[in-house]
Amino acid sequence: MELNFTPVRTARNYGINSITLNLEDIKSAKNNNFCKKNLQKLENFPNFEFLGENIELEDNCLLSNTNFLCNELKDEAEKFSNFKKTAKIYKSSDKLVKFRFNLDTNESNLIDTFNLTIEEDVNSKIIVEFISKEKLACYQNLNFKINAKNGSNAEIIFVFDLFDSSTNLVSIQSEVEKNAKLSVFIVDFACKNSIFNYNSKLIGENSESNLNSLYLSGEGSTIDLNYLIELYKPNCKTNMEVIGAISNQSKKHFKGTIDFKKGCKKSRGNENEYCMVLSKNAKAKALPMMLCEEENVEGTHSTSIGIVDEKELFYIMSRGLSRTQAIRLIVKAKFNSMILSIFDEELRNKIIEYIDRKII
Amino acid sequence: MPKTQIEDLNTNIYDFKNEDNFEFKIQKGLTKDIVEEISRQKNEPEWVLEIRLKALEMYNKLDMPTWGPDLSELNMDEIATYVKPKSKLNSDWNDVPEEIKNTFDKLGIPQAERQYLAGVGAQYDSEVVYHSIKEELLKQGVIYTDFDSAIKQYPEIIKEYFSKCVPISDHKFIALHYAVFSGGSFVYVPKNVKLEMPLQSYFRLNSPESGQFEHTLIIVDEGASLHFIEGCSAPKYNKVNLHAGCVELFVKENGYLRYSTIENWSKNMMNLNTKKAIIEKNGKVDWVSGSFGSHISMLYPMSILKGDNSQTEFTGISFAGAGQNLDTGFKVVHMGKNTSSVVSSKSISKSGGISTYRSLVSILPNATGSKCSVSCDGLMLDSNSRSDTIPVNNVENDETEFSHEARVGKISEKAIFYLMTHGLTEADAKAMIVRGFANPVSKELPMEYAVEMNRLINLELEGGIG
Repeated sequence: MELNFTPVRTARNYGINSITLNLEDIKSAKNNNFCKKNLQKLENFPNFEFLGENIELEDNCLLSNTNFLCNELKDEAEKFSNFKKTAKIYKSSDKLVKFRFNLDTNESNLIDTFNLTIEEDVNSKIIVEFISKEKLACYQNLNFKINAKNGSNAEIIFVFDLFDSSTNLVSIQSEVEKNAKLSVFIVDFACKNSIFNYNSKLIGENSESNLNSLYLSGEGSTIDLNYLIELYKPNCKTNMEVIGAISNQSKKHFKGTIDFKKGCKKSRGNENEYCMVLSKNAKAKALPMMLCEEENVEGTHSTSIGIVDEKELFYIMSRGLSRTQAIRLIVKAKFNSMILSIFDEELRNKIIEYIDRKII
Repeated sequence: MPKTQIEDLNTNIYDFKNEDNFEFKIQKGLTKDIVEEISRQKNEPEWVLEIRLKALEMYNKLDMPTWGPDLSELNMDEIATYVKPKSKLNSDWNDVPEEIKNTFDKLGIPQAERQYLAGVGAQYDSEVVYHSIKEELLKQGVIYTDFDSAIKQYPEIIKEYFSKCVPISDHKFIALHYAVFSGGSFVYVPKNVKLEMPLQSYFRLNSPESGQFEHTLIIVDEGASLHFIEGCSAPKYNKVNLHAGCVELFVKENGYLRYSTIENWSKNMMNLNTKKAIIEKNGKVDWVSGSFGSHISMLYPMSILKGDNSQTEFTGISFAGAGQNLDTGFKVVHMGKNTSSVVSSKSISKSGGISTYRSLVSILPNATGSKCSVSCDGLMLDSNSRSDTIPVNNVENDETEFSHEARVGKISEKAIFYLMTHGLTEADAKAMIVRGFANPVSKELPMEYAVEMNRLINLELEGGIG
């Protein structure tokens, strides 16, 4: 199945217009009744935890995303969703809002639709976590929609920590209204198939949409990131920062687009991607696109590949660290500024622990 | 501040047409009979016809690209793929028929030859009408001849290299090229021969509703060096013309080739050209490319860094004005160890023009120690235009340094203000900034060509800003 299509096609033989996964095989391999005919038997997902205040939660929601990884996954979300929620944050609060999805033996499949609205002039900090509680292959098809209303200011961190052999298919879409600011942070402890689509539309004047994305590959992850930020109105601003490390047999495709639409005068957009390649067999592809049909804008993008510099290693090792410890230190140093921008200390520590655990 | 208007590049100096006089013009369309007739007209060996027919078969099998500019205006049934001018191949301008000679005079080719070129080839429609090379280069063993003559005079070399760099199956329009190719140049620079002065081939398409499909094959042997300049233009017609040339470059160990192109096709031209270089150990190819004309261009020169320590640089500029969609860029594949590439691309869009920078950087598993740096800039001169950047970067080893950066925007108002405080008018300030933007490309060209390129831009900037 082809999924996660770029907004603009380029030559087919470059192998980046989309990614092909055999989802039927993935589902069959899980061997837990996860084939289409049994999907209807999925019960409402019970392992959902929620923490926070000034929120209205409803047990149903319409599938309001307009971007999907592919039509088949849209159909699956429409017909077989086992989790649907609408949440509205109607008042500012200092307290953190947390939504947590725990996947375990009983519920390792999650087809979830979630609409989150940050009401006008509301400030909020939110963490949405998806966590494997056991060592088993999980499957997720997530469609998450964020509406940042006029004047709102929201920071939302998505944490994906599914077991290595899992398949995680994620589509997040946001609309940012006048004077609103939305900062989305995607942290992915990548599993076997980590497929992400994030689309943000800046539909109000003076709106701002920022995306930080941090990934760390597993043993043999396929990471396909397709991020698109569209600027429609004057004085919009966006900043996309993507950083990650791939090791072992992993491969990473990064497709990041900033699209300056006609009418987004005086808008600014910046996109940076940095990927550390930590093994000979890892493969990194990047397609950092910038589309522009407005004259009075400033757009920049950059992408780079980093390697562990032997001289740096030698220097650190000469201070008594082993090679592995030195590599860990270099990776942590490269990730440091992004890790520090995370408002949740627990998560910061978790990322650092993960780096220590994975680089051996 | 009043809105500045920068007019399209003035290509009127190229937009003069002669009557459509020809010795033979093949019927429009693309069939086996047509391909066979071209081969018969050219009186070429059987093996060439076999390649043509194989290519035609490939053309019919391959799909149109599913990406890039819309090519639906191109109808091969409306294109004559071979037009034989009323001239034989000459080595003296005085022997070239008056009308054709006047064309190249207006384009400044004979004058350039006298002043700073080591050899010149001039193609008019589908055939080369003039070819010459300085005597001393012949003595050093340099071969510079038209491609048809090369097929007959050096069949073994041509068989060894022809279609080996750009295979017939590369894409649909290269298959078309191999089916109907005609004209072009063949250059061989022997070991350790370094040409001080450039060679130039100029391609002029005069005939309406026709195509030009020249084939350029250059071999720079070990330790040799060459600067090759390619120029092209055509008068404007109301219907589509097609250019689907092919350039194959082979640079051997320690060889060096600079390939410069100033492309000024008329704005009814579909320019679907293919250029590729294979570079051996310690070899280097520098591409300098200026794309100013054509209605639609899909042009992505490619370097294959096959040998260890081989290098390539690409410096390009495109200027897309009204009715133009210039989809250009560069491709590089790093195969050898410690290979390096540097890419610098500039584009200017105005009056509804579309500039797209599309590229590929591929660093393969064995290309350890490789370095690649890409930089592209898009300048938007109004809000009716478009500037897109679509670069694909593929890294397959963990001992590579790679970086890509791009910018898009308008002329900085602060910079204009600064220049105006130093006594320049707003128009002069903007013109200076645009020329400065193009400077990285013009400084890579031989001085005469840089002057020509700047003159092209100045012509309109001087009259058009304000």
